[in-house]
Amino acid sequence: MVTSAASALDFGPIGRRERALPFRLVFGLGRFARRKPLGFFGLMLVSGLIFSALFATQLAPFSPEKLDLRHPLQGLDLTGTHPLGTDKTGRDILSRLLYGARISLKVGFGAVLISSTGAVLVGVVSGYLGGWVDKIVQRLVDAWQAMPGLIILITLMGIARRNESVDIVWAMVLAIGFLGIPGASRVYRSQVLSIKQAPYVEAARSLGATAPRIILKCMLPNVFPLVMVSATTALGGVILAEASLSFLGFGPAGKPSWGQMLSIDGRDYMYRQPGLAIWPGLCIGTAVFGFNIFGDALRDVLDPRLRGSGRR
Amino acid sequence: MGRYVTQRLLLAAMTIVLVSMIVFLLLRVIVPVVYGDAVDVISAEYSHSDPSRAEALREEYGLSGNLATSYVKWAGNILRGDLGESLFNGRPITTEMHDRLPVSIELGVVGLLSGLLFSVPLGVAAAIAQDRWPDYLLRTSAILLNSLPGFWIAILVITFGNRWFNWAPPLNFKYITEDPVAHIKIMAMPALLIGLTPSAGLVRLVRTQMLEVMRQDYIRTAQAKGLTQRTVILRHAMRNSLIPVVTVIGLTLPALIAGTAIFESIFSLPGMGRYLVGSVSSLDYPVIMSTVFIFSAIIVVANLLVDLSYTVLDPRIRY
Repeated sequence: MVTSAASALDFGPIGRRERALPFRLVFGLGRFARRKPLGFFGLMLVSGLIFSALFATQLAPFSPEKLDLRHPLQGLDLTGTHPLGTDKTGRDILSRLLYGARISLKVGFGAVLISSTGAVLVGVVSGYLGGWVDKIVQRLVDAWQAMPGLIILITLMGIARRNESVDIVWAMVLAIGFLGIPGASRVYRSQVLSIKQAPYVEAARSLGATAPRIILKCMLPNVFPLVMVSATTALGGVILAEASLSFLGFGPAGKPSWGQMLSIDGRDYMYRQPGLAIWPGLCIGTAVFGFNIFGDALRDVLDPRLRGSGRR
Repeated sequence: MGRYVTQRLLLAAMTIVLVSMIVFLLLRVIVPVVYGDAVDVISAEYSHSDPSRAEALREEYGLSGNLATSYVKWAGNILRGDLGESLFNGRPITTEMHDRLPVSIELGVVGLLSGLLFSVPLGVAAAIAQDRWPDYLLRTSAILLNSLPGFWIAILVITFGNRWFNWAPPLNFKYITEDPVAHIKIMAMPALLIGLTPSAGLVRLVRTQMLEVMRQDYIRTAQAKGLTQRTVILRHAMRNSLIPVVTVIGLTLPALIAGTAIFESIFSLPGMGRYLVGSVSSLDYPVIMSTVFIFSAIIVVANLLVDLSYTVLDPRIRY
C-alpha cells in the first residue's frame, strides 16, 4: 500500500477553513499589503510595468518609430502632444518608453523561466543524488560561476547581432537564461540537502516511496517558494542585464529599448535635452526596484528557512 | 593548514582548466551553432561565397580542425604565455594586455576601495541605529541604489556636470607615468562610480553582520566590564563583522569586471573591458577567446585569495 501511505503525506493546511480561490487571493493580498507595505508598493510598481507593456499600443500617443522632424529634442511638456518630449528625430519619448517595457519584460520573464526551470532541475537532481554526480555538477557550477556574466553576454550577443537569421530578443532570452542557471541552482541544492534527512522524507522513503515520488511530493513543494522568491529578484537582475547590453549596443536594433535609448550615440543630444538621459534610466531603475522590494517581501513571507524566525 | 592551502590551490587549478574548456566549447561549438558562425557572418556581409576563401578564414579564426587537438593547441599556447594575436591589427594580445590590464585593475581596485570606505561606516551606523529612522533611510537608499543601473548614474553625472558645472570627462587618456595629475583627473570619476553599485550590497551586508556580532556573548562581556560603547563597537564588534565582507569582495568581482566594460566604454578608457567590446564588434575571435578566459581566470584567482585570507583574518578558522 505504498501509494496510500505516501499520499497521506500531502495533507493541506490544518484547521483553516478553505475559501474559494478569488477570496483567498484578495484576503492574502490585503494581509500582504498590511504586513509588507514596501513589498506591496513593489508589487504595484511591477503591476504597473506589466500593464503598460500589455497595453502599450493603446496607451502610447504615437507609434514608437513615428518621426516628427519638425519637433526634435523637445522638453517636458505634460499637456502638449509629446508629454515627455521627443528625441533627435522627433520620436515620442513616452511612446518609446511604453514599448520599451515590452522588451524588458519579454527578456525578463523568458530568461527567468529558462533559468528557474534549469536551476530546479540541476539543483534538485544534484542535491538529491549526492555522491559523485553532485561532485561533478558542483565543480561545473563553480567553473561556470567564475565566468563574468556580462562579458559572456557581450560576446554572444555581439555575434548574434551580426547574424541576420537570429532573432535578437530570443537570442538574449536564451543567453541570459542559461547564464542564470548555475547561481540559482545552488540555492535549490542547499534547500534539498537540508530537507533530505528530514523525518518526513525519511518516513516517505521507509514506506517505499520511489525517488521521483519523493522529489515530486517532498522536495519540489519545499523548493517552490524559494523559486518564487529568487525568480522575482532575478527578474530585476535580468532587466538590468538587458539594459546594460542594449546600452553597449548589443541589444535588439530597431526596437525601442530603455538601455538603447541611453546609449552612447545619443549623448550629444542629452546635453541639449536632458530628458533623453533621465526618463529611460528612471524606467529601468523603477522596474528593478519594484522587483527587488517585492522579491524581498516575498522572501520574508515565503522562504521556509526564515519562517518563524521573526523579522530581521 | 599546509594541506588546506595545497587542496585549495589544486581546486583552483582544476577550476581554471574547466573554465578554459567551457570558454573553448562555448566559442568553438555553441556560439557557431546557436548564434552564428563568425566566418559565415563575415562572408554574408561581404557577400562572397567562395568556399576556399571561407575555409582559409575559418583556419585564421581558429574555427577549423579537430576540436580536441585545437583545444590542446590553444591551451598549450596559453600555458606558454602566448595568447595569440588580433586578426584586426595583428598586435599580440599579451602586448595589449600589458597596456590595458593595469587600467582595468586600477579602476576596479580603486572603485572597490572607495566603495568600502563609504559602505562600512554606513553599514555600522545603520546597525547601531537599528529600526530607527537612520536605519530605515540607509536601508531604503541601499535598495534604491542597488536597483539603479550604474551606467545611468554615470550618464546623469556627465549630462548634468556639463549643464551645471561645465565639466566634461577628459577625452585624451594619460597614463600615470606620463602625467599623474591628468591621470587622476581622468580616473577619479569612473572609479568612484564603479564602486557605487557594489557598495549598496555591502552596506546591507555590514549591517546584518554587525547585528549578528552585537548579539554575541563577548560583546555583552565587553559592555559588562565597563568599556565605552565606542570601544565595544570599534574594537570588538566591527572588526569581527568585517570578516564575511571579504567573501563579498570575491563575489562582487564579476560585477566589477562588467563595470569596467561599461565604464571604460562611457569614459573612453583604454582598458580590457573596452578591448573586449571592440573586438566583439569586429568579431576578432582570438582576442575574444583569450580575454574571456583571462577575465575568468582573474575571478578564480581572486576567489582563491579570498578563501586563503580567511585563515589569516579569522583565527578561529583552522584547517
